[in-house]
Amino acid sequence: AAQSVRCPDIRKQADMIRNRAQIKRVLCVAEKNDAAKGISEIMSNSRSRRREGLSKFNKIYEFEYHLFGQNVTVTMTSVSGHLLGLEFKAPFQKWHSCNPVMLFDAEVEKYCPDNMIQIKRTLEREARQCQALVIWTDCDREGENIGFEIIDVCKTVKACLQVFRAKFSEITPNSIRRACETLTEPDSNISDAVDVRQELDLRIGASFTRFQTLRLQKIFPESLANQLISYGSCQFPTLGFVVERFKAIQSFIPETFYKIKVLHEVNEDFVEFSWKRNRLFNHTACLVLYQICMEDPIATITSVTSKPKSKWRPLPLDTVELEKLASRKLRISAKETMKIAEKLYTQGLISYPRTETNIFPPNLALAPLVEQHTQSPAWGTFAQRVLDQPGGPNPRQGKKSDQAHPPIHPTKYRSTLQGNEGRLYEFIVRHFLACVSQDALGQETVVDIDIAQEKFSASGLMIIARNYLDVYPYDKWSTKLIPVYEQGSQFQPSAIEMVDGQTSPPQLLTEADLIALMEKHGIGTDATHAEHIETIKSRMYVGLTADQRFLPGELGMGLVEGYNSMGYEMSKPNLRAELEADLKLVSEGRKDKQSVLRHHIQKYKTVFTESARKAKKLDEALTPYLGAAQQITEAEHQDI
Amino acid sequence: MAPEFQAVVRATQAWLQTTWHVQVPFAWLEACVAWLQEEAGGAGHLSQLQINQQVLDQWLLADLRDLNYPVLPEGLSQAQKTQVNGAFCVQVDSLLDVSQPAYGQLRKMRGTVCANDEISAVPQATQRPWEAKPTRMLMLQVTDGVQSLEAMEYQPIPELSAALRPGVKLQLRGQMVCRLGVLLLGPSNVKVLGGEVEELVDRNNQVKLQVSLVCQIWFMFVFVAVFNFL
Ligand SMILES: [Mg+2]
Repeated sequence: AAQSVRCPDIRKQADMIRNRAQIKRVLCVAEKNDAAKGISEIMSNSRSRRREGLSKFNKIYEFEYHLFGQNVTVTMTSVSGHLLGLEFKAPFQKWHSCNPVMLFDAEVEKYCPDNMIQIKRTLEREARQCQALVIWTDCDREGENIGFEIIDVCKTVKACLQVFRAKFSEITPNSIRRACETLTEPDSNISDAVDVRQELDLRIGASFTRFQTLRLQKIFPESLANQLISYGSCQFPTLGFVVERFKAIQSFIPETFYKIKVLHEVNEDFVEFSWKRNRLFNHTACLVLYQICMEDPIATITSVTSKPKSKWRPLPLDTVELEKLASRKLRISAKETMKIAEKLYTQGLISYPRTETNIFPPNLALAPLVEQHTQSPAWGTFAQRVLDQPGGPNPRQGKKSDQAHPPIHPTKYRSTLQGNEGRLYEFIVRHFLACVSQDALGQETVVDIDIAQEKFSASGLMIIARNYLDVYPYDKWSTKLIPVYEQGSQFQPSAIEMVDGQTSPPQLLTEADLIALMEKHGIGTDATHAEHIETIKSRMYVGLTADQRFLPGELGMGLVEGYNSMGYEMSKPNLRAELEADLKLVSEGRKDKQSVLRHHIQKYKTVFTESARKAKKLDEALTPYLGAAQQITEAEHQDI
Repeated sequence: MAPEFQAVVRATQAWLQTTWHVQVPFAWLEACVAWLQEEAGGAGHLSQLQINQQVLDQWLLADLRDLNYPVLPEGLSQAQKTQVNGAFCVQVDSLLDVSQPAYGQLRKMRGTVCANDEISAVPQATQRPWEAKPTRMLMLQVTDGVQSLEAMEYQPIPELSAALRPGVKLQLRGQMVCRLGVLLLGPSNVKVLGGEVEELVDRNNQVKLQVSLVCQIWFMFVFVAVFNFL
């Protein structure tokens, strides 16, 4: 950034303190207008003055506040996510401007897209009036990077701005006040990790996308003439999972199995005893054992055991669990879930929804959070029960912590939400209350019997205390009655049957399964899973069946098969997972930005060169799906 | 034949019978001993003890079909329900764990098991929690060289394993029930003698056996797959 050298370089603590005395006006910048509005409302006690910025979506809120031990005037405004984009320099921007392989080394630059220009101008104008800048973007990787974009823009017009970072997980009075009292420095390591990811995504995505689009449009003009065939290093492994499952189903071979079932009628109810051998994949073997039972069909009760059994209350909610559960229990897609969750967060209703933590920190007071919900007609009684239980709220704890945000939990009671917004909020509240209440308790009885030396068993369940289940309708647990049996006694079964069945293939992936796979293999982060899934849908690489399961499309199948046949695991998670792991190291300051960039550019460039050399395999793999390939000359082949 | 040679052969015959319950045709035994002595450089180079042991080794590696010497009670493979008692040495042509689907065993053997197949956000309710894990049940295709029949691991037999070589020899002993032509075996009924049959190892090894088993349903499956997905 160009420096306008009018101010002294501020580094030392002493200088900082001395300079704080000169701070009269502070510029605060949040990530979204809603957040700026919410934070202003809290800081100003709803007494902020609103005026227009140059962008009509990003208002300016002004108020007095006590900061740095003195009264200052705060100007709070916002961006709309990333302020800058990354692009190749002009000579490389056009699709036919260069061989795509050059995109691995071509120069790139950050630029401000047209729709962000007015926001940038607002920041420049306001920054000139201020002595300090406080970054209030979301406290995650992207937020940190957006923070540095804001810093760059502001410092370009006013180099001597003092810069601070506000750290918060919720837009609630306590959290915002604490953030103001503990302002820190922005973390350039975290921001660097985002820069690395952006640059790699740009280079890898653009090179492969141009390469495969240009080539395949020429080879399959009838099917693909106007289609963009995008490539992304997260998209493809995600697509790969869908194809892999589809193929597992295709190659699955069902087999017949046999089992022996014992029924005992007691007071017009049938108790079913299941075979300890479970099932046999051989008809004769099962028939032999069945005959043995039938020759002496008297059941002897060998044991009756009864033991407590509990059903565990849910763990504190992290992002991945929220996405998976919302998809399964509420049928709301991951993408929509995150959109709604962000909105609830900016309204101050829930804590920050991007978190990997499923442990409540000990200093987070849970009782006041529960207390807020006692007024609810739907779950108020339960909230009161949680407060009254011995020891008060008692969260079941997980094992993961990102050291940045607590688990997702409600921060405010609201009864007026509608539609999916209302359903998701209700889910988050109920999940929270369930998590801090008590496990459901039951008593399980298992009856073992013996018929001609074959063993069978039946079980019953008595629910003693439903506890968390009373507030959590998303889990089911039901009583199963079983009559009283006495060890050592005998009975004559009402029926002994030999039944058969077939093994069945795994099912197509649900969105929740896909997220679980992405998480397991380190594809994307909790913040980006939903986007990648959305991309492969919008590119028509995959479709959804009537019951919302992922089915690969012809293009998707062909692309994965084509790259697999080249011997590169482009649709396998390994390459991307390594990258993701390196990004984490950069964000922790344990690896250096430049060397990570160089390493991964080189790796993907090698894969690219090889893929281009073996491009015919891509044509071959797509031919069964898209019809005969157009022949192209060697010269044309060189060309693309 | 020289009477000394006859005495050596008879001594081996008696040793096989009393020590191992192995019965072989006398002509095979004669040929075997003669060949061993010749290989060793003539009669007298091998002690009786050495001959006994080497004959046993030859028998362990032989395909009992070539010996053509029945030891199992006649008609056993057709029996609806009967009991046998005694000691019989047989050869295992193949074996398969029938408590598990063959497809899964085949993939495990080929190393194509994919852990991702088991990923499901919903826990799969194929087995209820109180149900015991199914215990292995091996089905063995056995023969005495003349009569072939199946034997099942009715009670767990730790001495057996799915990794036994095709052609391995077993001693079946004690009281055994045979139903529907299947011998029911428990741990006291089986002693593994060892050995293998080279051709069986090549031709009939586990992977191939299972492929053929799996192939029987293949065509039906392909039809279903095409119907469902295209
Ligand atoms: Mg954000």
